[in-house]
This record gives sequence, structure tokens and C-alpha cells, in this order.
Amino acid sequence: MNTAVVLGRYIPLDSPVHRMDPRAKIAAMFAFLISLFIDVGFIGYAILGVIVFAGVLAAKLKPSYIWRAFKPMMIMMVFLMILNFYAIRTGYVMFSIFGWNIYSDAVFQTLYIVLRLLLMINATTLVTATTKPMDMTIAIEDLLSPLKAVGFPAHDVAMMISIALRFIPTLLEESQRIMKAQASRGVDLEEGKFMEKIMAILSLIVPLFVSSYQKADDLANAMEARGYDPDAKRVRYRRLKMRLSDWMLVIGMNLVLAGIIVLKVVL
Amino acid sequence: MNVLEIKDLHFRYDEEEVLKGISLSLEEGTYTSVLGPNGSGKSTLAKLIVGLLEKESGSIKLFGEELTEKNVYALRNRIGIVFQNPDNQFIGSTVRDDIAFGLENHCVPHEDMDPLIDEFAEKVSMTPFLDTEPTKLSGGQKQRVAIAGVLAMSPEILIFDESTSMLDPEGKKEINELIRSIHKERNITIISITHDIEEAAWGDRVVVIDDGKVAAEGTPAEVLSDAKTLEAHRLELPFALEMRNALKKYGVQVKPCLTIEDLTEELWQLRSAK
Amino acid sequence: MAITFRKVNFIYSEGTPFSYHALKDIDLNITLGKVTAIIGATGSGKSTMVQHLNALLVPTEGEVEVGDHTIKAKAKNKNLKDLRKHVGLVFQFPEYQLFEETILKDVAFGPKNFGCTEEEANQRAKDALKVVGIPDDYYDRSPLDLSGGQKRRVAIAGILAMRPEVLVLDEPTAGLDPAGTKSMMQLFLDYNRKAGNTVILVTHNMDQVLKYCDEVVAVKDGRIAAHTDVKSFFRDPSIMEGTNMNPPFIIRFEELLKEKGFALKDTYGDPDSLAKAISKEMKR
Repeated sequence: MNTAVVLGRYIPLDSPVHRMDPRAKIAAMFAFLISLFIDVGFIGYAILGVIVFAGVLAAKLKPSYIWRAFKPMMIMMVFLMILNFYAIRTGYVMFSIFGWNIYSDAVFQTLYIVLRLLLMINATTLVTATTKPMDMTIAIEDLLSPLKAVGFPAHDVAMMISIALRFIPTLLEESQRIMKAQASRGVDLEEGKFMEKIMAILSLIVPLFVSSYQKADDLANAMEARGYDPDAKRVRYRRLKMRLSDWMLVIGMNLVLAGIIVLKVVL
Repeated sequence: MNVLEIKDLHFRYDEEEVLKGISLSLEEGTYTSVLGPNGSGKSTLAKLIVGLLEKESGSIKLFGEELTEKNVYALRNRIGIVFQNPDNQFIGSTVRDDIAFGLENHCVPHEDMDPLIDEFAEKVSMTPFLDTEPTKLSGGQKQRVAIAGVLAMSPEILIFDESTSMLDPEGKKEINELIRSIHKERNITIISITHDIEEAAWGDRVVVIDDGKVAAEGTPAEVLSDAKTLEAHRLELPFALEMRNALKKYGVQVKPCLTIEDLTEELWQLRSAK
Repeated sequence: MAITFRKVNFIYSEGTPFSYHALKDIDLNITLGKVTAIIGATGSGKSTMVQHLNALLVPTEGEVEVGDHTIKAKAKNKNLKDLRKHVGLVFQFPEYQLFEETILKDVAFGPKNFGCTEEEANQRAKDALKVVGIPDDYYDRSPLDLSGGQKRRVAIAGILAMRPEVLVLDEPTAGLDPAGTKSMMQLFLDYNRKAGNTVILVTHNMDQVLKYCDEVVAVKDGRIAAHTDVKSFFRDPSIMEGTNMNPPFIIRFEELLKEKGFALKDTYGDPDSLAKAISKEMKR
């Protein structure tokens, strides 16, 4: 269960990366991801690899943690490799397994994709692992706020995300409780006929839905009673501050992006 | 001065008539307990007062002003309410953020927020937990945070809608003591909706609501010693009064007391007088 | 049939940074055919303990014996369904487990899962609904349209319809008004007194313990702090120290009177016997 939620989980440590402005981290991440999709061969991946590796070191994250985030992707990779080895028949024959010729392009193509995915997961995990969900929400609100001009409800979206985040543990607890309560009434998710299984699933979903609805109702009342008005102006308590190092990260990452674009044009 | 005046208030929920003409007035700075069985309409009344529901007919006057759609936000700034379920009213991701939520809505200047948060966290003894997430707090602690959140907006009326009913005895005691200390220190008018007859013995007035109507009203001594009325509305006698009735059977006559402390004193004096 | 805990330890999320040792070397023998209260502060481990009774939780160490079933640590425990048929567990706020289209179907859901025929399950459901006081013109209504108190009673009927020999209740009266509380407690008492079943009640309410229970198990920090009959439990105030519990009013009242020099004899924890004792003292 613990490995499943590694992707996107916040790891509370004290590091320079943790202390950075989440907006800078998100902006840098986007520059990084764009760079990643400009194909300049292995040299590009080497540069980006060094950057993300430096980031992981600075964030004091254990490599094993990044590896765990990567693990669920493994099956997909293997599948992709088999598909590529089967489908791509260009380049020279590198080697052969059981009489099946593997072409060089298939190997390089697979390697490209694997590297790209690895770097992508690495970079996003680096951001989510070093940023509190709450700060992430605020950063998203700030980054989306220019869209308010065209009527995009940036604030509402941020409020929705933060409430969803706040209630995930509560709902998990609730679903555990409902599962146990129904197990006490003889619900068995593993055995039984098809119809019985449908009933078993219903016996979990309906109560969870009812209780979530009740919670949402209570929450709406509590928010309104404390003066929340989605259309009114609010003064936000949590504020983010861009420092010199944050600007340097954003500028630096964009310079890398520019460099890679230049490289692409030159090659 | 009456801070709250309700006249002939009706409310309907779909087909069902929940409130059938409630009239009630509260004087500034008083502590009123509202008693009544489940489904009597007490929580509905609380939601109507803070404008979370809309009345069918009748009148609700807050601070001398009729509550309407237009002034509901302005009047709501002056009333705080703490609900029953500690989990479902915790909005922020930490204690600090939750206390800040109301301040944010009321557009309190940013530089004033931290001092206010600190002050009210201190008031409810939650200072060590300012950066704690709600999942790591007990029910009683969450309710204390909810109280800090509403107190920070300096309300003139505070409503507790069964705020202790989901707590363990320790949590109940904490919250009740907190409510009483708030009432004593600040001149806030308090409405406490409860099932707990012993809780109602404390305070200035008791209102019994049943079947959408005011069934009885008066001082705790008047209402809580009226066994017939209490029984008719599915409520129990406070223990000290139940004891008084038992004593009467064995020929010991005492005057009605609401608490066991008073009853002990009364018995002791009776015996000493002999 | 017997209910026995032998050296039971339970650790939540063992081997992770969030691990939590909830039960520590629990040795316990719950007397059958009685009403036993399990008391303790929030987080003391009492809810964890009762979830071992129908194997919703399996000990990390030690074993739990319930009738013919023995649930052992680190073993593949079979036939849990049969155990759950005999031990009915009602969770806190059970109204949240209702899900069927009609009240009757919801109450019959448990018996059907445990192998009753449709007809038999419906009959049991009707019997159980009668016991909890839901009239028969309600049978075809949706359980979700009921009031809070009625929902609670339907949910409890859903467990009673399984006819468990052991009925475990986790704070069944939380949030109910005094009249609702009283009738519900009477119902559990009848389930024990009339049908001879075992009732285990997790509660914070000491007045309930005094009025309705035979034995008390006090849990503190994951250990059994006391296991005794109700009378001796309330006679020794030191047991309750540190459990965050308030003694019942009548016990506190008796204590207050004793402090004032009243000599009270032959009191049984009810207003009547206490009033009698006081009257004797007054005439002295």
C-alpha cells in the first residue's frame, strides 16, 4: 500500500529545495519538461539528467524513494520494449534472441523513451516530494490567476483542490470503517457469485457516497457560517515570496531550455 | 437590550413542517440552553438564525435588524456557530490555516492575522499544535480550534449546536469549561443546543423545543424541576432532582436543587439543624 | 463457547514509520451470558480490542479464542465468515452502513450473506425490526429517508437479524437523545436477559455501565487496567483514575455525602437504596 502512493507524496524534510517558492519549482519543472520533449539526442538527456540529479541531492531525497516512484512504470516499459523490438526493423542488427533479430533503432528508440520517462517522473516527483500540498495549491492559484481576466475561476479551483486534499485522509478512514462494518455483516469481496460481488461493492459505495454527501453539506454550512462567499474578495493568509534563489532557478532553467532549442536548430 | 428576537417563525423542509411558529427573545450577554429531543427542530432553528436556511414566514431580528437576504453576510459577521461534527467543520490544512479561514473571509489585514491567530490559539490552549494537521488531533481539540476560529472574528452571539455530543467525557468537559470561561470573560450572548440536561443547569435560561414549537421556557430552576413537562418532551430529570423525588418517598423533604453539590449542602444543613 | 485473549499484541502498520502499538499483552476472559462494559479513554485501544472479536483485526502476536474459532497471529485464519455469524459487531454511528433500496432488504442483507434463504432472511429481518420498534408499514421505504435515530435502529436490526450469540456494540448511543438512549439500552439488556446472549458494550458513559452492565473491563494505554464486576468497580475509585472517565452522578453524590460525614450503608448504586440509606442517617 505504501509504494502505491509514493507518486506525488510530500516528504517532510528540511532542504534548500523544500524552502524554495513552489511557483518557481513549478515554472522550472515546466521548462524542464518542455526541454525534455525537444529531441537533441543523448547530449540533451545527459544535461537534463545532471540537473535533476543535482536537484534530488539538494532535496536530500533518498534515491530509493525515486526508484519506488519509478517502479510502477516498469511493467509499461517492458511492454514498450517488447513492442519496439517487434515493430522496429530499421538500422543495423545489434543482436538476436532466439533467432529474432533486434535492430539498433529499436534499442535506441526504447532507450529514448525510457530515459525521457525516467527524467519526467524524476522531475515531477522532485517537485511534489518537496512541496506541501497546501503550498502547491496556493502556487497553482497564483500561476492561474492571470486567467481570471478571461473568467477562469482560479480561486475556486484552488479552494476545491485544497479541500479535496484536506478530506482525503478522512474519506480513507471512513471507507475503512464502512468496509469493516459490512464485513461484519458477512460481505466478502473475494468469494461469492457475480451478483453477490455486485451487492458487496454496492454495500461499500452507497454508504461512502451518502457519508461524503453529508460531509460536503456540513462543510458547506461551516464555510458559509464563517463568512465564506465565493464571489467576494478575500485576503489570503498564506503568501509566497520569490527570493533571489527562486528567480535564479526559473531563469537558469529557461536558459537551459533556450540552449537546447539552439542546439536543436544547429544540429 | 435584546440581541435576538424571533417572532412566529415557520420553516418547511419539503413537505414537512419543521418549525411551527417559534417565538423567542434573547437578552445581550445571557447564556441560554436549548433542549429538545432528536428531530425537534433545534438545529434547524440555529441554521435559520445564522441565515444558512431561509424561513418560510415569521421574523428574525438580530441586533434590532430584520435578517434578510441582503444583510445576511453583514449580520453573519457578528454571529459565530460551532457545529456538532468536529471533522466536518475543520476547513484548513492545519490549525493555523483553520483559524485563519474566517479572517481571510472577513478581509482582515494580512499583518493582523498572525497576532490574532496566536491570541486565539492561546485562548483555547492549542498553541503547541498550530502547525498540526487535523488527522492528528482529537475530537475535543478540533472543536477547540473551531471555537478559536469563530472567536477570532469577535462575535456578539455564539451558538453551539450540539458541539459536545460527539466527544468523549474528557472532550466534553474541556469544551464546556471553555464555553463557560468565554461567557464569563467576554460579554458574548451564548446559545447552547444540547441533549445534556446537566449542561443546561448551568446558565441563565432554558428553552425546551419539541415538535417545532417552544414547549417550555424559564430559568433552569423553573424548567428543569418541572418533571411533567420534561417527561412529556422525552427529556430526563437532572440527577439531583431525581434524587429529591426518591428522598421524598422515604420522608426526607428537601428543596429542589439542580446539582449534586447543592443537594449535598442542603442535606448537610438539614441534618445539622436537627 | 468462550471468549479468551491470550497474550494479544496488536501493532498498526508494523514496520513503517507510522507503526503504533495499540494492544500490549492482553490476557482476558470475557464471561459469557453477561453484559460486559469495555471502558477507556479515546485511543486507549478499546475499539482495536473489540475488532479482534470477529477477526476484523488479527493479532500481531498471541491468539484470540471465540467459541470454536481460534484466531492466531501470523497464520492463515479460515472460516472468518462463520465466526462473524456468531459475533455481531455494531460500529459507532452504524447508520452509515445502510445501502439497500428498502429497509427490509437492508436488514435481511446480513442473514442472506450468512446463508439464510430469502424467506428465512426476511422473517428474521421482520422479527429484528419489531424488536427495535420499526413499524411494518416502513418495510418498503428507503432507509435513507429515515430520521437519524430511526436509521440507527434499522442498522442495529441489521446485526440483530443475524442472531449473533455475542453482540458487540461500539458506543451505540452516541448522539441520541435521553429517551432514545434509554430505549436502546433496554433493547440490549433484553437481548442479554431474555435470550441469554452475551453483550459487549464499548462506552464512555459511566451511568450506563452502572445501570446496565454486569462486568467492567477498563483499558488504559493498550493494557487491561482492571476487570471486575460492576459493584466492586465503582467501590474502588482508584481504578477510574487516569481513564478520563467521570464516575456516575450517584457515585459522586455518595462520595460527597460521605465527605460531609454521612454514614451510608446498603447502597446499591440506585437512587432508591441511596435515598433509604440517607433517610436512616437523617433520623439518627
